[in-house]
Amino acid sequence: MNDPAVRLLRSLYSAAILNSRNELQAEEVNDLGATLGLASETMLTLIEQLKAEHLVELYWGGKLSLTETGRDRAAGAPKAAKEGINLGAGAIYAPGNKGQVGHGIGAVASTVAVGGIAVGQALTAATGDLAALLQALRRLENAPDKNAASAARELGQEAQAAFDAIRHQTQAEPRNVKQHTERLRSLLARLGDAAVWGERGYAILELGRTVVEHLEKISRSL
Amino acid sequence: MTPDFFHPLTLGIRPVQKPDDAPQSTESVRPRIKHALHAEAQVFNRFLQAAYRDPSRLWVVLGEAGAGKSWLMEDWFRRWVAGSGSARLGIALPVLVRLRNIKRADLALSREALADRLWELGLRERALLGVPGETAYRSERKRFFRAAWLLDGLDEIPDLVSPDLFAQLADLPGAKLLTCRDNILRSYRSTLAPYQEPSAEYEILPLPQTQWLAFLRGRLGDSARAAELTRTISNNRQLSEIAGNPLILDLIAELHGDPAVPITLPASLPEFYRQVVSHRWNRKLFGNDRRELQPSRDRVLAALAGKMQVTKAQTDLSHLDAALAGMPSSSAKKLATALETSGLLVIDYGLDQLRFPHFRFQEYYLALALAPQGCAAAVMTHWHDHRFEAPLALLLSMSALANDKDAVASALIKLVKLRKRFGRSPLRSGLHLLKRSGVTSVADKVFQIAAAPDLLRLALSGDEEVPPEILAGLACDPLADVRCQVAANRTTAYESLAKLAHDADTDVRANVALNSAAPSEILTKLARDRKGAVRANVALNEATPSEILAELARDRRGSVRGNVALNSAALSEVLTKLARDGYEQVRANVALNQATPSEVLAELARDPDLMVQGDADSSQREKAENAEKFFALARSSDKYDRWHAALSPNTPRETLGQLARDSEWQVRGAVAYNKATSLDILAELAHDHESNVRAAVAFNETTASAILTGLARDPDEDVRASVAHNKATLPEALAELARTELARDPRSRVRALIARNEATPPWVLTIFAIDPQPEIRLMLARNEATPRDTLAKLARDRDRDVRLEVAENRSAPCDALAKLARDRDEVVRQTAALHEATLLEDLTAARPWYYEFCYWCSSRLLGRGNHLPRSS
Repeated sequence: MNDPAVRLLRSLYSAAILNSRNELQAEEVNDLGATLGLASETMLTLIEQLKAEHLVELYWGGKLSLTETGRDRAAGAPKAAKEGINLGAGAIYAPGNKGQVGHGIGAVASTVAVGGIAVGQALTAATGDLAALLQALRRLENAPDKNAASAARELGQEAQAAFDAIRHQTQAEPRNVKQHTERLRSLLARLGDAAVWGERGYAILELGRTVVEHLEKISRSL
Repeated sequence: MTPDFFHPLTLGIRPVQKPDDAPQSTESVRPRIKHALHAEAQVFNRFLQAAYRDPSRLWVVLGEAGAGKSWLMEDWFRRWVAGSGSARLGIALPVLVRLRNIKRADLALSREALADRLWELGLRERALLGVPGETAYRSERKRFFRAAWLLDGLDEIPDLVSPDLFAQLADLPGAKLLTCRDNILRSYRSTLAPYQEPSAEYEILPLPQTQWLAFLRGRLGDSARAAELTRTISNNRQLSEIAGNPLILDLIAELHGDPAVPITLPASLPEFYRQVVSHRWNRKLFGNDRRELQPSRDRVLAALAGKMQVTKAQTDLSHLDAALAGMPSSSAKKLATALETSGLLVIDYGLDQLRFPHFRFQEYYLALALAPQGCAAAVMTHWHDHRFEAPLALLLSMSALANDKDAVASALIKLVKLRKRFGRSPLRSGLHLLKRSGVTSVADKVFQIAAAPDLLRLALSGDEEVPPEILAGLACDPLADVRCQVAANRTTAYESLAKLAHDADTDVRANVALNSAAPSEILTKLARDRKGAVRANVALNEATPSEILAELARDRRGSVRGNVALNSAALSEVLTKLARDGYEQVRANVALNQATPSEVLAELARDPDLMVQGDADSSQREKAENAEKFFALARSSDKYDRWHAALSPNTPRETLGQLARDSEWQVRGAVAYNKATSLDILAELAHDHESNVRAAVAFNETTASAILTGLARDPDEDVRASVAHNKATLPEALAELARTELARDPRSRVRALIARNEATPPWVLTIFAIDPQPEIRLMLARNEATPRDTLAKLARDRDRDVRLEVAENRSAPCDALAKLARDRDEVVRQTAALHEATLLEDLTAARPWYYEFCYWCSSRLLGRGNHLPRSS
């Protein structure tokens, strides 16, 4: 699977968790694709690819859900035992030229590969997660609860800035990434009361924290 | 078969259902407009919008063979894809499926699997699209889109038609539209009814004579020749009756494509088909083959048509070998090649199937196949099957051409003497056959139907399939009600309409004035009628020339000017003038007219009269079609601005999402009412604290069934009433609602709405038949899903309005109609007589008038007598 497909899969996975349902409407999928900067034709090709690998299931009308394999793959579980890599639960998983490697979420002392490939995986996961986070925050911006709407706007602006900073892997500036990581961390600490956010608050904050962890790794490794 | 330049199709919609607020009884059966006309583009746009609402029922497009159903589907397919931009996940895309390619085994598939299979079948049509279709229409991209199923040719799969087929097609994900020949659908109507989208049955109307010239000009590319050909067709009695059919017009053009060929048209339909076949044969084949193979050609094609009958649109290629058996192998091979080369047979070697180039050709050769058994035997065997109407009519015509009029007469006599009726009227069938065959022309001027009972004459006068000679006779009927029906009949000949335009009865003239087929010179004359009611109908008729409308816009009567103001054919300068009329109702009508220019609407929005102001304001907002304007309206501080935005189907979904959280319940209610509102927003609004908002959700046909089931238990009666009204409510939920409502309050209006709902299970409807409240029984009598035996019971109801509703119900069985035709109330009797399922035989007096009629008819054909003996 190529990098855009992995990013898309990860964003679908995170969006499904945020929505507390496995099924995503076509509009939601298109929106994630647009956030990731994918053209509509590219999106169709990528979904075709995910479908061919039995990672997603499609329903008439363009609705989509992740299969168990898809969820495992997006969450970072190994593809098969023969790969010989056990990343543990919550690890990020992505293919590389030298085999499939990954990096555990929040695992400061990781037992698996680090370096160029691992940075790529963290970037992929962070991009996918940020796309799903941005989508959820955009929805909250119009919430009737003014506190939640205002918090969503604030966090959304910073998440967008972080997303722009890491979107193109090759252009990611270590200093920029670090700055955005710090800002996001402090924002999350300030807005960390799940009650402010309404029913999806906990999931949003959790995803935000995971993103910060990815960004930290990226900035350390760049 | 229809050329690319042709696009003036008009779709008519029959008023199949009365709106709930329509008067429930009338004091007269005098006809009003029979078809509401819709520009084809309007219907196309409606279906396009429906594709995003995932309707649970089937749309239907009807038309006779060659009316352009398949062409329309292909055109919609192309236009839709061309206009849909780049393909993206979840976009609504059309899938054109030829139903003849469906196999019985496909119907055993699950919902999603059947949709997958239809997608695969639809891929065969992507060649119609060229490059734009390559992105979306791929096998691996099934389920990527919202499918809008264009299911073409229900009439081609008679073996598969069953309630299960309709249930499965209706259950397909996405919008779905079926095409079918109109006469075939009659047989399926009661089976199809529960699965059919209300108010979404359209009929492709014949091309009006005024469009023939444009069609032929486009086809021939020679204005002078097109004009001459149009004149020749108009003067040809037999062909002018069917030249509104685009296929026939195209075939006529095909015969006259060569400018060197003199313009002549055969007098009969069989002869016309023979010429078309010869033309195609001679155009592609040369030398000896052409002459030598010709006798075998018709024999082989007739054998194939005889094999296919009307039940198959295609057959195994092996049948061609069987038909060629007996010929020397070299000749057989040559003939098979010649049939394919000339286009008289279309062969699909991939599927080992063959078919005729169009069903009209199959019908012609079927008539040839039936000829050896004789007219009478063929008519007696097949008369009750609608699908045989055209082949039988051709056969009668062939017999008349062969000077065998005895055979025609004896076939008709045998038919009307039949006792076994298969639920159809032999007399009506005989008359329809006569009209289609054109044989009635021999009896021109001498039909005397004055001896028939009043009700029978009334029934004949409203029937558009009755020969024009009979209508001409009825145009002189002593009963004004009969003349009214003839005046409103779209098939009434020019001479009869001209005569009726001078009728002493105002209603008769008023009906001519409203007849959409009335020629402009008659309408011009009626526009100067002394009675305002007549002029008012001319003003309403969209066929009225614009200069006459301009004249009527200066009429002294406000009602006449008001109708001009409503007429969408009125020119903008006329509407502009009427916008300053002294009568406020005229100005309000201008504000409601879709053709009114925006600047006039702006002027009317400042009208001193509040009603005019309001109408203009609404129309102005409806014209603000772009998303930015709706976005601005949605953000307005004026709640009525937001209300308008919330109600509009053009408001973007995201904006509707914002409006769903508005502080004003009216705005949220409008979002809940809007069919463009997404399912998740409707689900949220179903829990709104304001009962009116919940009622609007319950009323919305796009609301998910599960939500409706929940709302059926709502404490508010308005909410439950809306659930009861909604056709998307599940039958079991309606049954449960009926049970609780009965326990709650026997006089609850919710029960009346359940009785009216076509989704209510039949066993619940049956219980309502004994309800003491006449309103409940009335709603039940109006419901087309009410079981036939229940309708038969209601036909004996003590309440006259209930009986009248049964007489108007399209599902009413013929035995109930027979009873109603003898009702003590005249309007009930007349309404029953005009029902298309009424057996004409039930309308005759004790003495079988029709026997005498037919005897007389046959006598005339045989040249043995002149007049029909009068009934006692």
